[in-house]
Amino acid sequence: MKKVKVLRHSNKASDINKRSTTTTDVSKKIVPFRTVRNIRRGHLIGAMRDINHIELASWEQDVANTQRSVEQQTLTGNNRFYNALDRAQTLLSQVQKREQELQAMNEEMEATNEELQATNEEMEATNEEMEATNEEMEATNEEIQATGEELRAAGVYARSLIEANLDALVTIDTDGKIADVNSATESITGRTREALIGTDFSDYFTDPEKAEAGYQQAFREGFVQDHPLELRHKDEHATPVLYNASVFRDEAGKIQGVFAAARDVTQQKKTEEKLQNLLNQLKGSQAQLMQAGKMGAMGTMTAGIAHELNNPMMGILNFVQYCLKHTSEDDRRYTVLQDAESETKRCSEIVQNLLTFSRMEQEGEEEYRKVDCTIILDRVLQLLSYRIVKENVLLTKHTAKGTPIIWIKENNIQQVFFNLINNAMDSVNTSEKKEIHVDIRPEGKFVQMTTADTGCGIPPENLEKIFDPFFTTKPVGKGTGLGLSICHSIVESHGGGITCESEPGNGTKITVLLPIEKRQEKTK
Amino acid sequence: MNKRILVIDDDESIRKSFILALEDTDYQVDIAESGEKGIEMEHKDKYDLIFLDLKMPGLNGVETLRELRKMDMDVPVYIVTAFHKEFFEGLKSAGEDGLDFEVVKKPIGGDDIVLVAQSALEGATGY
Repeated sequence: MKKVKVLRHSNKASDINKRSTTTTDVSKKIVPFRTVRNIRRGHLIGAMRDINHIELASWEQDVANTQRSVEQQTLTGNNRFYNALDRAQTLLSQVQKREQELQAMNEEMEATNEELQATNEEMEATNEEMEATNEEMEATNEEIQATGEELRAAGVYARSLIEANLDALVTIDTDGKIADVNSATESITGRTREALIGTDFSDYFTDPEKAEAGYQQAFREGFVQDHPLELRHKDEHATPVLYNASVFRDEAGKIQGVFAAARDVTQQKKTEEKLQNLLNQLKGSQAQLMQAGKMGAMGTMTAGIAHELNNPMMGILNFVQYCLKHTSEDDRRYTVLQDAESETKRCSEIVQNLLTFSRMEQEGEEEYRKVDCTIILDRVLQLLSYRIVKENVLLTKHTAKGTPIIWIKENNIQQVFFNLINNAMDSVNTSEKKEIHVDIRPEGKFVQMTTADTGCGIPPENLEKIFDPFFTTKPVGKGTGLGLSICHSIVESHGGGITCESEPGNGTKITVLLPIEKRQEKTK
Repeated sequence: MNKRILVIDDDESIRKSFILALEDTDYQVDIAESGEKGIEMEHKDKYDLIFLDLKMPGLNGVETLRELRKMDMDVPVYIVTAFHKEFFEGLKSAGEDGLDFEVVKKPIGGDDIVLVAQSALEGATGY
């Protein structure tokens, strides 16, 4: 059998249509010349050449076969058509059925739809209601938020007031434990809130029992007022406070604890102390004034008496001395007359001292003169010699060579020396060691006179008052409190200075500086 | 001739004191109980030394001093005083007027009286 050569080049399948497939076509066709184009298709042309060799007998067979095949195919196609038609009809019936079903469903759905619409309407209504409710709720919410804000602000405000309070505020629960504190409590105790809360409140007072009593009283009576206590700081220093406390309750009226405020009264106490001191001073001053008044009157009287006594004293002195002079030392009366003389001299000294004091009032009338201070000192020591010996005081004196003669008011300076040494005598009076050292020496532009004693000394708190008029620690009647004050004003008026150093129990040293240069007199 | 001393004082004990104190010396001591009397005596007889009290009834010491100085500028006058305040101004102005005087502090004992007298009359350096 002749084979139809199949194109080997499948890509060229399109070329098949361009070729004759039937014998007629093939016979009618003139084989194309070998063109360059055809040469390129040499292979194909060669195939065509093969077709010339097909046998006719077999060809017809083939055609019949093909025709049968076509018929068969046609039949098959018809069958297929009817089959398809059947199927289409089946489908159609199915569709119709389906349509009915759909119709039914549609109706159902429509019904459902109506229902849904109704429901929808209901829901819309509900929705509107809900929206309204929602709006209401939003409004309510805003209100709640605003209220919350107000509440928070109120809370902050209340807390800030508590914190701002200068009083130490504490809440104490029914067990006596601290529940809350403000910052004033923190600073007054030196402890943090965290450290304080939950601890026993009475621990922070110097007298826990007294604090506890105040707290109990608050519980018992509902409150306690101005309960004086001392708060104890971490570093142990105490702050005086007035404690005010009252119970606080919950809504049901049940006692929740005690709310206490401790007011720092340090300043108040200081002021009270100052006032008390002032009052004491005032009383003292009053007493001193009365004393001074008495002294003034007494001074005048004393001066008068002293003056009046002077003449008879001088008489007695000379009479006794005359007798003494004309009495033999072997005579028993001689020593008696000696005693009479020395006692008369003592009286004279007393009178003289009284006059020295009264002469102080004439200070303005004395002139500045050139005087040797060492001579004044000798005179004063002479004046006090009786007392020095009698009281068994060891008095030593040192006067530096070359101490210049200076311009002073002699009687005034004598008064200063007298007062200072007399004071030293008083201070060693009760001491075991009774020593006084007096020293005069040049010191720069000054002559310096010092008295140092081994007496009782002056307490530091009195040191600054010793030059104040009427300040005295001597018993009433023994001192006027004027001595050092007079010394001070005399030395100042000379343009000098007076200072005091003292060690209680060990003695006192007073230094007087008097300028060497003549002081320009103040014109009145 | 013995040197003569006049004591002018209204107080008898003072006058007596001077007399007794100076009894054993060679000085002749006269006394006057007032300033007026003293002036009169000085006027009659010149004295070598006068002790004069300040506080006296009648003429006081300062006034007496002024009168005495009118008669005699040279006689040493010792004012014996316990520093009476009221006479200070007068004494001061008398000094300023060039009237010479010395001051003796009352009370003064026998030995001191003698010393003062000697120093005034003999220029002794004992006082």
